[in-house]
Amino acid sequence: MTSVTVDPGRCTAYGICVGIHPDVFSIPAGSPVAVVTRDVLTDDDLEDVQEAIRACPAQALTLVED
Amino acid sequence: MSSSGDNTVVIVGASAAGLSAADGLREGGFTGPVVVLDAEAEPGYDRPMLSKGLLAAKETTAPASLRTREQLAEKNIEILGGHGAVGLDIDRRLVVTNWGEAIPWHRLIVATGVTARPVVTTSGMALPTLRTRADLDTARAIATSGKPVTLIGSGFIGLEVAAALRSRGVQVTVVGRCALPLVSSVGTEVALWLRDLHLAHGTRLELGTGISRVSETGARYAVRLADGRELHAETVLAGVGSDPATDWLLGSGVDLDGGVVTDSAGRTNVPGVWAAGDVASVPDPCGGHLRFEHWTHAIEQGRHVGLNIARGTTDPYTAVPYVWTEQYGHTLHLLGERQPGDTDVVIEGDVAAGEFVVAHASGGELHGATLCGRIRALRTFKKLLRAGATLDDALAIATPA
Repeated sequence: MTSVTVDPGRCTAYGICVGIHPDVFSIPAGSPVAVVTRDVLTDDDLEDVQEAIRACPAQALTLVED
Repeated sequence: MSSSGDNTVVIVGASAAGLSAADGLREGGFTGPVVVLDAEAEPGYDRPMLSKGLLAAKETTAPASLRTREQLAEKNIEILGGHGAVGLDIDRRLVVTNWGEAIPWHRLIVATGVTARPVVTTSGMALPTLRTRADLDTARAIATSGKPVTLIGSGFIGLEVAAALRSRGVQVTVVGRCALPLVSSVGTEVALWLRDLHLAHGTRLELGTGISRVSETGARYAVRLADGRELHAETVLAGVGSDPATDWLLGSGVDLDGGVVTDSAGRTNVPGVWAAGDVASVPDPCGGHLRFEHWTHAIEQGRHVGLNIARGTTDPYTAVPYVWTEQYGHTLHLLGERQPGDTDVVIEGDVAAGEFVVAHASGGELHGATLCGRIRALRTFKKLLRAGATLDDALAIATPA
């Protein structure tokens, strides 16, 4: 199974990931970091999640394969 | 540095496009030397935030670096900081730097980006702008001085800077040539909402007239508008667009026309020379050439060029353009490219309420969409645009409530 994690030490809540895949990433009101709202990624999610990983200016996102 | 250019890829420019091209080369399996020339001494940084969060913030946070030293070392990507390109020899395959070095390359990727278009006063002084890390320091100093600011230019940068300065209580006047802000990108209804949003937050707008000149009057400025009126300004910031950084390529043999002209794969007219990111003038769907100055374009098209070179392919780059802008707590997302003459159709929500999806189409053909709030529709519309969908397709999947 594949998932994506946010490094809270690097994330500064720019929100670019939310703009690329709003079903997987979210920034709740007042949150200083983005959160992942879908624990297990589907095949349909992967392309956009990988784009979000590349687009993150803080390089805070990592794909995890279990 | 590698001593021979036998299979070295030299990338000129170490911002989003250049670094993504380097990553693309490694992702595509290229194992030869990758050398990235960076005109700035400090490594590439997160440029979009200069006019967004960083100017609004009271603390003086520095823009984030795009890569750590460890990430670059792990991929064996060599960055030469403070080395800008000043010339290119396409016959001997050398790039000449500001230090007088002649660096050999087998493949070259031009990723020098753009520079802010200067606005010069009648006495020859270039007005401050917001494009680089150093510009941010100047803009911050202006913001903390408490003096009213006149912004020249009502594009993305001008509007974002206006919103950021208003959030810090600075008096702002925006002077722009278009009658409505961003109207060619978002359509009339959204542009009207955006104008009213700025007015409601106390920004003064002088739209529909450009400037004819700016003169210095002691410690202040006189901004002469094209319609003959004159505005007095304490401080002035310019955001009137940008020019591709291609001076170093003049006379090199690389085809230039409002940027480095490339095919859909990223190749220039010179064998072995490619271009990526803001500087590249790529084929647009309407048969012309266009430069995109979008963060995600720089990253995705940069990576695409790296992959093509590594794999020996010439695959066309076909991603849907995407850009976002933040103003007064609203984030506008623009997908695709609105075309002149497009009809703007509210697909979901209510523009006046600041929560909407507006489709841009003509003859039933969907060209783009502008969203605010309602971000769950973003992926749906990206897929529709990628698939070449019609306005009817967009209307069919909408949830209008």
